[in-house]
Amino acid sequence: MIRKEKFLPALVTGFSLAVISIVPILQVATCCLFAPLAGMFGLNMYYIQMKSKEGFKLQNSDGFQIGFLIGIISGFFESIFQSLLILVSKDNPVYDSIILLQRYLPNTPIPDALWNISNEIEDKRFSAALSLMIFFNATLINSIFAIIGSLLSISTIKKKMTRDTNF
Amino acid sequence: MKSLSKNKQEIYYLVSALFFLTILFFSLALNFTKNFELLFVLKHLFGNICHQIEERSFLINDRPMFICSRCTGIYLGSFLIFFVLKIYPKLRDYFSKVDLLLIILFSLPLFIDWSINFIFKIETTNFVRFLTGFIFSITPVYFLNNLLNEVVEK
Repeated sequence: MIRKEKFLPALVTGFSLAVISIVPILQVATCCLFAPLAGMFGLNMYYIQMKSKEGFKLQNSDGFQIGFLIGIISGFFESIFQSLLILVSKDNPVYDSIILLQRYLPNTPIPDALWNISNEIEDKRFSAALSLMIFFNATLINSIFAIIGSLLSISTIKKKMTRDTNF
Repeated sequence: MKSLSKNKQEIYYLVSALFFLTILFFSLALNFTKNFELLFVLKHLFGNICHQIEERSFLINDRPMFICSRCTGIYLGSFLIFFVLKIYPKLRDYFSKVDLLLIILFSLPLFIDWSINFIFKIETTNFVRFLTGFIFSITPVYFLNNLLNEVVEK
């Protein structure tokens, strides 16, 4: 059961992660640096608001849940931001990918589905299929790295608690 | 109870090694599949973890990998270290006791190489990028190893 107290930290860090993912230069480090950091911050925010509550015990499952929530939320906002960027720009990432892949596989016919997405972007500047793909890709990658970050954070908090109790 | 968590830990080490191996395997997709849809999805998926600049990627059979040479170094290094840790469990404890400062030192070559490339606009070779990435891989594996070690300690 996901506690409602986990949503706010996940929303704040997930949204921030999605914003960073569209900033040039910074976006390169989204997965491997900022996603674990988002996981750490999210978990710490959750811990700070919960530690005063009686009977509260931080568990690894909390890290998994917060990391996964951050992944979903960042994936959702990232797909919106990327779609908006396509809408206001003249870029067609699908066409660019087709051309690039065709360069290395010149004799392979390009499936109609990909051309349809490319044409859709050319005509309407929006493709639901592409947005969905961005959502799933970002959710998958960000979830993995955010879970690692939040688990690392749990480990640090537990070590600190053990140290404090020993003193 | 102890052996149960020990088994769990062994599985985690195996999964971690396989995770990095899978990334390396699928980054070579241009060499083993002509399924355009799959290639398109994989290219975009890897776009989330790497900048995918062709000039900075290794060419296998004249076809670029979906990850750059630096990322190839990081993932290959991570896979090899996890593979060694899986085979020799005694090394896990030694590795987790290494000083954090020393571990941070291993990430310095990558940051120096990246600064030379990005800030000073001096191009280093793909092999140098690969090598610095390979050395850097010790850092993430150190943290992941500590995390996995706690499964047994609990």
